[in-house]
Amino acid sequence: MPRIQTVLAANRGEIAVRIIRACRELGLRAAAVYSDADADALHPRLADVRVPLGPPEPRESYLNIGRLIDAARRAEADAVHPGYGFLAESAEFAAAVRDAGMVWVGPPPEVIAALGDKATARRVAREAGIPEVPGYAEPGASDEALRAAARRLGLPVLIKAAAGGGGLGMRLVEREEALAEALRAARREAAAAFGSGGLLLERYLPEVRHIEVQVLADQHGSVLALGERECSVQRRRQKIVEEAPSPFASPALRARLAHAARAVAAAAGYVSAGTAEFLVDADERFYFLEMNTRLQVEHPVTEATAGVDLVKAQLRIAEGEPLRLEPVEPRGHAIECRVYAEDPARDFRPSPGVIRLLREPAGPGVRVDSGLREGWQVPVAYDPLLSKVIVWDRTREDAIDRMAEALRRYVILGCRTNLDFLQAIVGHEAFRRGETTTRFVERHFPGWRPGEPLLALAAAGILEALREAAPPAGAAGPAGPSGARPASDPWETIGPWRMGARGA
Amino acid sequence: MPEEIVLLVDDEAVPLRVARDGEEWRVSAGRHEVRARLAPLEPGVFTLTTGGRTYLLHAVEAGERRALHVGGRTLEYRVERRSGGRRRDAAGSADLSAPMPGLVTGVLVREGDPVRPGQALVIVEAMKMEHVIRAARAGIVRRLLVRPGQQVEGGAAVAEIAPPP
Repeated sequence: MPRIQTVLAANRGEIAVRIIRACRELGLRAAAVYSDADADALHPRLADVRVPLGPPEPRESYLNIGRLIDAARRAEADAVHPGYGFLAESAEFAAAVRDAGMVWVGPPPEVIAALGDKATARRVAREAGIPEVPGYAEPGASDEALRAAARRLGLPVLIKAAAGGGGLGMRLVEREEALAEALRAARREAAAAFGSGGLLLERYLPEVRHIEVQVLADQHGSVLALGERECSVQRRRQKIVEEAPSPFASPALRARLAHAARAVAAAAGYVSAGTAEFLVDADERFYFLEMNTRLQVEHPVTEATAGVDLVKAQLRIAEGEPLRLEPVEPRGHAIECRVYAEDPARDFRPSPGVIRLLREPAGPGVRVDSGLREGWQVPVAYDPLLSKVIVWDRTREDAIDRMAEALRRYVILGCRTNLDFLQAIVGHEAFRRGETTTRFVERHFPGWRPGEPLLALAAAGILEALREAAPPAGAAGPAGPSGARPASDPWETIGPWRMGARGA
Repeated sequence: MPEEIVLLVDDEAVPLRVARDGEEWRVSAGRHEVRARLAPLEPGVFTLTTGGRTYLLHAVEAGERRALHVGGRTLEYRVERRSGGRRRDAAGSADLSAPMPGLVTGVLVREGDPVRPGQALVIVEAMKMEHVIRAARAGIVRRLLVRPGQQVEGGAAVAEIAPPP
């Protein structure tokens, strides 16, 4: 197979930046695509070549296969990395890339089609002897069939997008009256996010952990399991804190999960990086959920513990390189926190805004995968994930302390984020004890609001008093930003605030 | 002499008393008092020392809007000086406003329709999330202020509901 020269990152935000950086390390040319909403974003600026896609709506841009293939051609790309979300699990896109004579950095379209549809994936797992969550998964199921299945399974049930992931199109239904509206909303969300409104149902298992196994498979039939991640801490069915290894899994469970993940991957003829997701109950019984045929948002925690760069591994596998089959012994403990543009004080509503100031943490064992830059307007058209903070340390306790400090030091001004909520989670005793089930957030943080920011209020008071002290008595008007202050102005001696216009 | 400074935080008035005592500042917020020293570090960045600990303080402003970060906490605020704690009236049509900027993807009622409390009126989509704006109380749809496909600002009114006849 010819070596890859130019890789198109067919995505946006932090994962596009992540792919571009991996290309740099391998000496490859990196190409980016961007919608009109992302013209000022970081990822097109970092790439060696950038191609506009069109209007902000995903269907007109990041979900538009024709435009993406056209962009890849214009960028003279010979490979396409889809990242996660958008078309990452679209067999149609993978096939279009292949038909255009380019390398698809992921599993073959046939494998995506088999596993990417959760209904088919469940059958593959069943045939490989892996237990699955009780549910109803028929391709093209109608609302009527889903309603009947919900009655058979018994409420509560979870509605999921057959083609999706990441909590989009997912709804928990506890009362029959709510079912019709939930199905309607889930279909709309699923269609908008994944281009398919197909849905399935699963019985809702309340007291479980979400544990997944990272696999890596080459084109020559070798499959490697790189250890598990626990992603139980979720809000609105969306993962927010992930760690590796699971604080819960015993060595025996770990081995059984790795075996099951390899079995599903092997049965499906898997190639590239993929993830087998399981639900695990308190008695260490586990159920196969789905196989994600793409890189996961939370892949960095495995990279930290397994010592593998998964994006580079994907690119090498795509070039036909065989895996080096040394057993991977995960070491230490890694945690990832997802930073979202959302306002915890207002029911976690998405909170777009202009990034006025950005200071990202760094240091030993601290990594930030970010798509942010100062002066950038966070667009409303997309998922509000801004960046990810990943820490590694020798023990889980040390990793938690490292994460707490990294979050405290992370400064994002101009756009509300969940950074204080993340601090509350990693600072919670139950998290420290590893009592992380999928109900962790609703149990320990019902109606959570940040505490009174006393120190921040005091700081605001002092800054305003200094500002107030400046103008001579009787000076009219608000003390706005002004370059015409007297030289004796104590504010001047402290230095001006950074003006919002800077970099905007 | 202590300064009385009123901040607006999420439309809520937060009165502060700020006094300077040599190098030290004393700031009272409600029952709490913070004693702290402030020193400049670089433009927009200060150190704030209180209770034997030193914190980095980052501050920005954009017009009337200000934001700062210290000790892991972010505060967005405006300044409303010595105005005696006036609260902005957030009532009125607040319950029928878009919770965030986004795209109107559905208008489920027509003008003149009677509505029940909790009835879905308008769907706004932003960042892949769907938000349903519901009637807070029973009434009649007096005016619809948005159409499907329309882009709305956060806080924009989407409908007016008149009391039931």
